[in-house]
Amino acid sequence: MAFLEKFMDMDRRWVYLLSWIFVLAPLLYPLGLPIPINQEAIKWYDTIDKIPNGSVVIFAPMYGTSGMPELFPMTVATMRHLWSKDIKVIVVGFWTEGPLVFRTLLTQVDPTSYGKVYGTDWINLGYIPGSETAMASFAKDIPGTVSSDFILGQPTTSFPMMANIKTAADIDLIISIETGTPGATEWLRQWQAPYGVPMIVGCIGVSVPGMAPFLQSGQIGALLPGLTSSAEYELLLKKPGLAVAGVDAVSMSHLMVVALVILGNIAYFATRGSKGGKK
Amino acid sequence: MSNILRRIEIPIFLTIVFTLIQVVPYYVYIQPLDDAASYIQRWILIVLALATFVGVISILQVHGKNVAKRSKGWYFSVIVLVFTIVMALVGLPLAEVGLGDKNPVYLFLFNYMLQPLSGTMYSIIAFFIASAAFRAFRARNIEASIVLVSGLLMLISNAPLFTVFWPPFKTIGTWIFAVPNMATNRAITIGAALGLIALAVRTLMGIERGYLRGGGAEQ
Amino acid sequence: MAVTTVLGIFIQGRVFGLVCLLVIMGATAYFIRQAQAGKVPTLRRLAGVDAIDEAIGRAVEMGKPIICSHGIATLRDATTGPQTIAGLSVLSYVARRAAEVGARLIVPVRQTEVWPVAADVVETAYKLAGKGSEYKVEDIQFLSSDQFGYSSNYMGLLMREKPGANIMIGAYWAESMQLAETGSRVGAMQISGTAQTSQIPFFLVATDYCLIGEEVYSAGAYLSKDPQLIASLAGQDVGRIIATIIVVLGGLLTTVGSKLILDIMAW
Repeated sequence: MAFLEKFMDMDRRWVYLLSWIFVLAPLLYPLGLPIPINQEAIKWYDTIDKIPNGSVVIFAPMYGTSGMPELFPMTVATMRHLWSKDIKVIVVGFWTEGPLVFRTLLTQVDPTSYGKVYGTDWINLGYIPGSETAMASFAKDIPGTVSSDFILGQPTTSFPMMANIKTAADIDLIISIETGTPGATEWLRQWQAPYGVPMIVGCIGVSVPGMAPFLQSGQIGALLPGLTSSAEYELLLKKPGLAVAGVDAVSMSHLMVVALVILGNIAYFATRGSKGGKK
Repeated sequence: MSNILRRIEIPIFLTIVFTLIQVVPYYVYIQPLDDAASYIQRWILIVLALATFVGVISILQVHGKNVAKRSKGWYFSVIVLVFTIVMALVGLPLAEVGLGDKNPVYLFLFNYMLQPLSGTMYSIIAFFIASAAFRAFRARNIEASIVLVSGLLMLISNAPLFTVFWPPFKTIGTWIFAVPNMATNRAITIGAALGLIALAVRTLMGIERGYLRGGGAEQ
Repeated sequence: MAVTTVLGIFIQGRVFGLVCLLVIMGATAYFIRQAQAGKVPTLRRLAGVDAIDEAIGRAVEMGKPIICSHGIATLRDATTGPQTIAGLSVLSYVARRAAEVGARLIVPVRQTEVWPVAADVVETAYKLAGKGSEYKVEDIQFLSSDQFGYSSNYMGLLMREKPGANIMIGAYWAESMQLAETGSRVGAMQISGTAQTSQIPFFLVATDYCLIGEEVYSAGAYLSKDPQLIASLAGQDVGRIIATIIVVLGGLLTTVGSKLILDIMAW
């Protein structure tokens, strides 16, 4: 019984150590656990796969370096998917580190290997300061808000793909990969509600519960939540990458927390009976 | 003159006027008002750019004092000051002299220091969540038991390790996400939005003054 | 882009929202007039807000400082700016009480644009308490504009200063868990509050008191005990009644296949 009481009150640093072991071990020694494909990844894959040829898509990495471990795999996988199709991609960021995240992506994915030409098939408009205000301004007047592109520094209107793109009405889909604010709710307020532009969102696990009302109402067409769904998406693309490599760690860390919670409650009930319980 | 400028009515008046300029064009189409709102949004960006220096001044004040007085941990303040100055200098948008976001020092600091440190800090949350879950998820009463059971089911449904052996775990997790969670989130979102509207209305009417000096009370 | 208007001036699709806003404003004005005539509505207790005095007292007894933060958002954002304003309202109260009881108050700041506002709020609170000479500008600390730079700095502050009270009311994101857990580790009494739905569970689990959603916006009014501010909360409840009626009616009508409510809301 004394052991159970000590277990319940154990120094939190033991929990930190256990977390570290349960996450690190599968990364060093992959377990190869099976990954079932679920509806969220299938919907995301289908939504992107069914984008009609010639469409114009905004791809917005709305996160910084802190979100890269969880969101970078889905960013890479999504860009691979987009570049494998005949669609125009506008990359834009409303987070300061968004363009830098995309620059890191370019070191791993080469658009020319997909036959994509900068300025004709895709363009990077860089970071636009101002958060939601900037998103509203961007919706009203795209070339007016961003007068030059991020990579070459040339006037936005000088690029062939931007010739007929003036406002949000000229955009066919928004893909937002995000960790917080500005994010989905700002896109909804400034783009989806006023202009009816469809959008899909990839986000971290913590943000997922808050997306439920928008998913249910259809305002968000598809949601790709976290690393596990990113792994499923990579498998659908038949290009396993960073996400697949990390899923074993996700499973083991979840197992550890479940086990600790169950054991903690067993100890709680066992000691509560004997000594009137402890908080 | 300075006494007149310190009157509380001036910031309240400015707040009301500028709030109306931003809110009215959302509902009413008056082109000059719409243009005025756009101009003011650009003014905001200019003010923000100037406000950047305020942070640097505060850092220099706090850490500079620590170093000058050799307070406890003053050497950490030296590190803060050195990196603040170095990053600010090499990041200046002066591509002609080799500074800016393509500067090798800037890229090194960003790629090999900021990126790993940010990722590490974010990852610490996992440890804290595990520790908090172990301490807090106890079935002390009915409400705590509901939190415990639903939390465990969501954890299980998000781990392929469990769902591959018993797929209904995923179905249960999806139901919790799509029904009780969605309803609760919707309620909290609507409630928070109403609270936000009430705060905005109070600000517009000039009776919410907590953000003004001293809560708006006269000195 | 061409704008479609109703009656030549109101923007299509926003008329219903305007009507609701005007109704809430009218109700607020009505209840304020009632309050001026002496009829102040009664508020339900907000345990978290009531606990602020207890937390300040605890810090004084322990001889420890108080840390009071107002979130990490700017003043400009549509949904998080008001949370910052609410946090500054609470800061104003906490600063005045801290000055009265002689407790050291530390205010960590993330946004450069908020720093002068926070400094002004605290300085004036000290002056109003007659303790202007005890105000220290270096206790209003700009930590970092980077989210995790701010968080790691704040955690360090908690570990070094070991405050008796850690009050966090405003808009928080991922750092909420880090701050709450660290505050718990150092034994601070923690009062938190945010309208960020993703962070509410972390605060609920790791802090002693938590204000949820709209309670954050009411905190300033509740603390001030100003009759006009309290009366304005009744106006907010009118909005809640409207929302409830629309939800119930809309649910029933949509179930029987009617789009009446949807059409009205699309005016």
